[in-house]
Amino acid sequence: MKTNFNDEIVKKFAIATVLWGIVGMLVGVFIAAEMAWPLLNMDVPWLTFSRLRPLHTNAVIFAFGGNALIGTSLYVAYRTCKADLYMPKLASFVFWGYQLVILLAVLTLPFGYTQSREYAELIWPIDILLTVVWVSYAVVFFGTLTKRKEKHIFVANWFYAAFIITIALLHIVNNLQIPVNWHLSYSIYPGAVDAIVQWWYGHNAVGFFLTAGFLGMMYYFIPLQAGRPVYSYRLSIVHFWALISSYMWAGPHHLHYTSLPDWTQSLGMVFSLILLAPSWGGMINGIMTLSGAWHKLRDDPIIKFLIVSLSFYGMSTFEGPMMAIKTVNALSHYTDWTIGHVHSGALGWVALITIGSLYVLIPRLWNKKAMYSTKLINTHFWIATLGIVLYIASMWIAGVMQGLMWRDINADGTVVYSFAETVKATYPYYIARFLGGTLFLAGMCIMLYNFIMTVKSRGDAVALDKLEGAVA
Amino acid sequence: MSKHEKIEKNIGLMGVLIAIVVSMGGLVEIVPLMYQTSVIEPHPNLKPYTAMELAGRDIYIAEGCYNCHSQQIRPFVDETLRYGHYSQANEFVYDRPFQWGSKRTGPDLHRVGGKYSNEWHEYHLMDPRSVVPESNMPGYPWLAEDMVDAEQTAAGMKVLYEWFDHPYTQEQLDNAQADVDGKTKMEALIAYLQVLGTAIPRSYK
Amino acid sequence: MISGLFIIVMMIAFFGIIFWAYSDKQKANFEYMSNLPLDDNTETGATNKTKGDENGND
Repeated sequence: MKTNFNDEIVKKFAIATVLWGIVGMLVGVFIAAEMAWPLLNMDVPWLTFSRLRPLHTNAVIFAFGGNALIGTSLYVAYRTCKADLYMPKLASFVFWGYQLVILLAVLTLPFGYTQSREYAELIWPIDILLTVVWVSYAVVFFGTLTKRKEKHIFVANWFYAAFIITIALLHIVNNLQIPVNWHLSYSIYPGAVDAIVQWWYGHNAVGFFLTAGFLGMMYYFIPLQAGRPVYSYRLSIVHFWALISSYMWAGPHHLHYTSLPDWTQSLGMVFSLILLAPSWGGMINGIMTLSGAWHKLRDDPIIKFLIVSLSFYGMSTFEGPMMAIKTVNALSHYTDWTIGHVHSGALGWVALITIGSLYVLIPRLWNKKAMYSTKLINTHFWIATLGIVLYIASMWIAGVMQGLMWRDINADGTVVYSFAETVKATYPYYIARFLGGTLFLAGMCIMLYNFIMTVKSRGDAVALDKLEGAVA
Repeated sequence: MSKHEKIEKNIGLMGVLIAIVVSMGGLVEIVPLMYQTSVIEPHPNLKPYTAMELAGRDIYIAEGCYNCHSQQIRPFVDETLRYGHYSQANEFVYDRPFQWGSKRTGPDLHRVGGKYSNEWHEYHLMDPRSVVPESNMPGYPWLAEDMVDAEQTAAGMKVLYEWFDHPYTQEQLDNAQADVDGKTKMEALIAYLQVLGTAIPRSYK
Repeated sequence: MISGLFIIVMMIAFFGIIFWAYSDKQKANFEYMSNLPLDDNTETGATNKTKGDENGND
């Protein structure tokens, strides 16, 4: 069949996902260690926490998550449209251009070239390159949809489409800057406006990069692996419009009790609470896809990855709106609770659904019957889950503790604890978090080994494929 | 043929609908702020950053201080006791980009200006545990050796003046490069820290 | 005034989508669509057969 190129490009994205995932998480584990043992930067500028933390966030979100999203979106698009990818050469450019953006991030962020906008730290020349790559990606994706042989567009593609369009909008609006020289630039928005623009971006990078895109993954790979149709296609449509229309309003909850005008904060809080409904609608739709095949949850470790990722999604989309309530936020904001919340979403939802989807995808791309070792998938699942639990539990406890210690007031109207005392109390939790992260990273290394062995193995799916191809 | 056209239209239509739906939140929540006086008018005591302070601010950004320090005091008793008068939007109009931060691994810095001596800051930045034994902040000793990029500071001031009307005098603009030339990054960063939040007195009334 | 109108428009849109999604007209189509991930994908080997058929129809 002539579908070769389609698979080849997705293969590249799959490899990049795993490799960048390991790099990004390794940086994460290192900076986690630095929080517990601050001498680890050894007074080297580019090994210092504050320089490396943006590299960690960019690597795991855009390199690990981004490669997974672009790769799977192209795969889902040409599979559900039953058409070849539009403009294959441009698709290759998207791959290499995107890797170049990541490489430039590695070469700039640790050396102090940054815009200091969280998850948008890349300096302006790289922002422009990313814009070009992203528009090319949109052309390939939407072009493939227009070439489809199916009458309707499968719902997973809707989520990917919303992700592509919204990220383009967010990226451009949040990076409007006037350059000073080749690396420094100043935002066109002043102070408080800059803050709301940035958190409109920051929140919706979570909403559309780390949620909508991965929901697209969910609507394709869970039915595929479970061998069951989407539980409710109707719900998926309501889910889609409800989610994308409410997410974009919730950004101000990142700025509760700040100098941002109150009306904006309240609006953000209301929409954050509303957001619970579409989030859980989607989660239920994903989990119920397994109805009638619940035994697979016991037998198939890939299904475990996919379904547990949805459980974490449900948990963090419940926790999120709770933390967006102003009185709760008064306690949780600025503490490690936020870090725990982010990682229950990032590790529990984003990483687990990506890992599960890759385990579905890899044998198909390389024409193998199955992954090299199902046992190792199972090991990966347990080690990853244990790592997440250790990570988020330690950060929850640390965060609540910090929040309570900070607000503790003596009878005479002075604060009970100095800030330094709250730092001192957090050290054990930083060590526990480091261990949790290490476990998760170890799981990724197991995955890489399983990946390599699968590609090298002599599964007979190739022969079978050729046989059936000849018959057709 | 006509079928194909229709399909293409559908994707286009969906794209447009998505774009409209996702734009609304930003239009309602962000655009009005650009015209709200309390947000865009500077506090009467607020001055634009001098060349030295601006150079220090660029270093604050480049070193990634915002990853662990907020610059935003919330109106809570413990915060005003610990950090000083709560933050107001009109204190930040010359902040491009804003540095409010999202995490306090270390304390808030919005009103750190004048709280410690220059000498204390220098010890602290060289080796934080020499003054705060419990601290998990990394040392930044290279700041004492590296020099400020004077050309960049002068160019930066010009951008702020020409594009954003930050009220610099011609003298400030002319002397910008000379003001920071030969200064270490450490000196510039401390100059920035010492001006933070000084438009409003620390003491909470 | 504007915010009130806005809420009404949003509610109409929301219920419109629900009405459309849950109308019987769409039932057959949705059943077909919900099976799409399974189509030609249950086993790697089975892929090309269905695909070939589809291409043939074109």
